Amino acid sequence: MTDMTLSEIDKAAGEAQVKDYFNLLKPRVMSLVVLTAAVGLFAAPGATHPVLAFAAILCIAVGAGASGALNMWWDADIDAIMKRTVNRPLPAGKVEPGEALGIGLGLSIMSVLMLSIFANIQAAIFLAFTIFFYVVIYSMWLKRSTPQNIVIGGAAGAFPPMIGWMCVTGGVSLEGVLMFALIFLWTPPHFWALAIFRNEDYVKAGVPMYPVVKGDRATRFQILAYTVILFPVAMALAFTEVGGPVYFLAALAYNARFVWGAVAIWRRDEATAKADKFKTELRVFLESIGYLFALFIALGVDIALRSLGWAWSGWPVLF
Amino acid sequence: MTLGQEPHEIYTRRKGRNVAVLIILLSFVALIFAVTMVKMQNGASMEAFDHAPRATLLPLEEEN
Repeated sequence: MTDMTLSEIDKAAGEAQVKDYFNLLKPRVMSLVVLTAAVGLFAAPGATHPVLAFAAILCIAVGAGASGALNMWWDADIDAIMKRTVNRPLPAGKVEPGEALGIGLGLSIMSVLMLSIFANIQAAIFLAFTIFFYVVIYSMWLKRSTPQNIVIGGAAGAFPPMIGWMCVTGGVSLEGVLMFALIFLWTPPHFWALAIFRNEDYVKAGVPMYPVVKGDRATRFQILAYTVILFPVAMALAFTEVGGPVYFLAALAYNARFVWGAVAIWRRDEATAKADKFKTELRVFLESIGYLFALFIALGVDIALRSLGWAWSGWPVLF
Repeated sequence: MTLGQEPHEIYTRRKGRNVAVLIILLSFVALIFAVTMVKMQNGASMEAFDHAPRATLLPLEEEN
């Protein structure tokens, strides 16, 4: 085979550009991981040099990106069926499966090894476990076998603030566990709001999402139940060593809005939702993305205020 | 490619990818250098592969 033939094949296949490899790492998920890991890291007691903090957060982000690449490699067959994922680099034919696997494995190993050097061995082991959990437990096992897939699998997305905390302390704490619980409980209503209006996609791909298996009515109730349980957990974080008035106000406002949105979803039925093209479900899904960003940014503001010595000394710490 | 010849079309087409790899590698080198400098500041209290300060190596505080 000549060189010219190879380049012609590349051209015909639509050769991968830098942005295709970047998209393989699920950049939007990475941005959330960067934020939550950074808040976990800066919330932890003890000083970390900014260079080490940057290096550690980078490793966690790359680890998350690597799991995204491995997830896309494994799910290429169903991604090609679903409208939402059909333009991902693998089903679009931009990146070869072997490339995605190589990039995913390579970045996983590199991120874990480098985190063990930049931070500590405990954080590195936790990062390795998170990648394993997302790729093997969630993607390979749960996603196609149970309607509880994103409930249990959501743990992988909830670990980053605990890893960030562990980078500084080498251990876990109540604050880290509450940050984990916040993301863990947020995941089901977030994804099920999406699953309701993308139900046909999941049916076609044979993914047993909650609405596919248990039906529309049961899913609407579950969304409401999780947002109600999430409320006190999110509020509890305000009364720990890392919380403060800024987070308290943000948590109060955003949780009230999330529950209000979930009530609106619960009060509707499938026919009403289809009639207005799932307007409410889509709105709550988009609001839920803003919810997590807003709460972690608010927590970051409280942490920054405390480090500047501007914290309110009378703020109650109950946990 | 020999001297005086136009570069093969594939090199032009993959220029973006090659430049990205160069930037990533240089950034990685810079990061390792920066982290090394910071860790070296820990001086004599460094221990083991990650050069993190260990409590066992810190000077004992005298009790009153």
